[in-house]
Amino acid sequence: MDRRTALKNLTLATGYTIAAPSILGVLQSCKTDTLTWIPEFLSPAQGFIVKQLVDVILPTSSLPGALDVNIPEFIDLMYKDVFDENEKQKFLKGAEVFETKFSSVFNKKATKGTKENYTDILKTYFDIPKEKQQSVFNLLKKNISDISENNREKYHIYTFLTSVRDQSIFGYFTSQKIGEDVLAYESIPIDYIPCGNMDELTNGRAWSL
Amino acid sequence: MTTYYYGKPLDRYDAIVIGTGITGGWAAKELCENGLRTLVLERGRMVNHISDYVTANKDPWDFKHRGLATLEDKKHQEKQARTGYTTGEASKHWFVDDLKHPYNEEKRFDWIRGYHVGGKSLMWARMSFRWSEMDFEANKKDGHGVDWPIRYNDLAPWYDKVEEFIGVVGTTENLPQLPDGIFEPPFEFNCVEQELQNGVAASFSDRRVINTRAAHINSDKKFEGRTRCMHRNRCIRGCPFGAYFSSNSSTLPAAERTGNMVLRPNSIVHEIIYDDKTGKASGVKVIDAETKESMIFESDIIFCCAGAIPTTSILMQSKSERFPNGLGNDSGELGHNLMDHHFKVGASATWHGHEDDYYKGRKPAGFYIPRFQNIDNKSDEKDFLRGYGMQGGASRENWERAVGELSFGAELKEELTKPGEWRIGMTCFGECLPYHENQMTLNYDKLDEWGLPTVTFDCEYKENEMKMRDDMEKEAVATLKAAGFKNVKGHRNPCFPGNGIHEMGTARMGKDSKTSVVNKYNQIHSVTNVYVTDGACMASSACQNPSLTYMAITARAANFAAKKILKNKKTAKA
Repeated sequence: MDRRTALKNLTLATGYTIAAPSILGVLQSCKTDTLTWIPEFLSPAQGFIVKQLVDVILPTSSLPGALDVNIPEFIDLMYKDVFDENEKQKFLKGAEVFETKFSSVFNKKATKGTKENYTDILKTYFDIPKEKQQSVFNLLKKNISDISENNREKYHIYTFLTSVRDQSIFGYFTSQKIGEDVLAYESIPIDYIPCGNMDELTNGRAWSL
Repeated sequence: MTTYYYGKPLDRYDAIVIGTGITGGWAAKELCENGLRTLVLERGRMVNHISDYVTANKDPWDFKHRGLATLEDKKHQEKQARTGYTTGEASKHWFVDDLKHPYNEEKRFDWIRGYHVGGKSLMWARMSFRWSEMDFEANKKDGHGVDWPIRYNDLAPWYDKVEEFIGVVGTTENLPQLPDGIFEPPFEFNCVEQELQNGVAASFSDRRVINTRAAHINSDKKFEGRTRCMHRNRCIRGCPFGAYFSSNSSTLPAAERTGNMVLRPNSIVHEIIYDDKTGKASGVKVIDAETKESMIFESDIIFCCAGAIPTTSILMQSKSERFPNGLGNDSGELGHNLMDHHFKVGASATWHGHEDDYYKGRKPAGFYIPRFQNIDNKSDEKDFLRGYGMQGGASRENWERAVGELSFGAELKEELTKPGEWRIGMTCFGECLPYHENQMTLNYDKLDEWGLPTVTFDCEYKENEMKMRDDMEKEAVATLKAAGFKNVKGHRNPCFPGNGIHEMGTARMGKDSKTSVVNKYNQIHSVTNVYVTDGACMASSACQNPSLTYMAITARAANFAAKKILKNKKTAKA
């Protein structure tokens, strides 16, 4: 089922109230599918880019990946409903500059990029030494007007990429699949054990709640 | 449609209680248990215990936006969102719509409100500390504000009564600045909180880390209609187990059991009617929040428990020939001396070790470091008056530790499924002095949708609070460092009055009607059948969270009032 339509129909039916678990069940039952997914906030091209990036940031391994828990849809929803106008514009500008950069690096449209291309380009931005990382975060804290012309591309691209990364992690670890099946989950713990062996308590996993 | 709950409406009542929060619930319970036929008025909607806690069982993935407030939510709760934790999907329905309930700020004041049955007792932080003799003596000693007409011993039996009924976890410590009470077993420290306690004990003689005292049931002792904590730490959503104290789980059901309570939600009290012939109040004027219909209810006594600001606003609106500046305002102090606790200053750190240790269950309370400044000759040489306490907790980091980094890939994902480092954080809560010029007023040019004046705040923290904040940060850092924590970082963020949600002082208690609004039994000096027992009556703020004291004061005043009425009735019959 086209889950966007499913979600849209259901939220119309409930008047956009807090989604009941059953509605989210529908959201979670369909895996991200580029062929049918039409983002609501992002453009189709940006939707494609985000999908490729989250698959590199949190790939499927022995554990589920970002695409197994609908992270592209999640990011689209966050930017549509939660982020304010300023954050939306910063994100869109970042996506636009990234798209241009991608074309100039690979000599093709970002929508034609392969997983390998996306892995390579992400590495050039994220696989950097610690001190360079710090300078990136310092740059991101600045107002755009205080950033020199030759640093602006870098600023926009990092704004976009770090947001995709952070939203991916947030959406992933607050998803039902990860929260209930991967992390240690007790909806009603009943007892409280103040201090015990981690392996015995959770098999080495972090609590999801 | 007019809806009354519990009892049948009467033509006249023995008592009217305005408000259903922490103090309204207590007034209702005590008055009803004394046999008074009591009308309880609440301006907001009905909230039934358990069935109306609509988010109580939701996990993060059950919320459409994983718990975050949407842009639409933010539009309606711009001021309520100033706490940073109130307006997410889990609890936004307990906080008012700022567009519907506007107020004005000469200076920034974060007025956080819940208009519904139960009031803020549903969302409170549950910290329950007794005040000590030094708190009741403070005004007299340093000359700020007016002397309290009561002392610790006046309240001690009422603290006992309240603690026994609500359930307060804690430990006996024999500290003069924080009297012990009747305690439920504490939520024990996790291993790193234990390290803090040990480290502080080894390094300091002036301060002590104790298990915090909070209004939870943590044993199998019988509490009517309530059971012990299940360690979900979702208190702010309403507890289906009734494990923490709220009016809805505890005092209102107790009042209901007497058969003497009539509860009317959606009832905005805007005026207390003063009868010049008797020199007393005869009843209240109410507007129905939904139908906007006006009505009057009559009673022998009236308990103002609407919360400091709403109670004061009602008194200010109650104008008569005798009281042109508001009911009982002979002193001119009504609306003045507004206080709140200042906080948002403290320290955080990491602990190296205990890598293999973890915990199970989400306890709803951490540790407390009771006030240690200005309590005796040794600690009395500070450049600020009064003191502060520290509240905090330790836990292992979760996936959030990765936000704000650049790592990615399958390894990152795997790594984040494991618990991270042990972190500890603490926040100091400081006393605010009573300043006459810190005040609320009414704006009759800007009316709300019921045609009632809106509240304007003109209140700020001053030099004493700022100097105290320097010391708070310094001592928070020193405490963690001395106890062996690593990466200790102090923090000190701007903090505006109101954000502590302990607003108080605007109809203060005192001995003299020329300088205060209510007497030692919370009666308005000049209109003795009107009682003010919520935060408005406070003559100073101490540094402890105030709700337990509000409850004790209310229980005391309600029993005093009930005994007086019953005696009068007996005399009248004879």
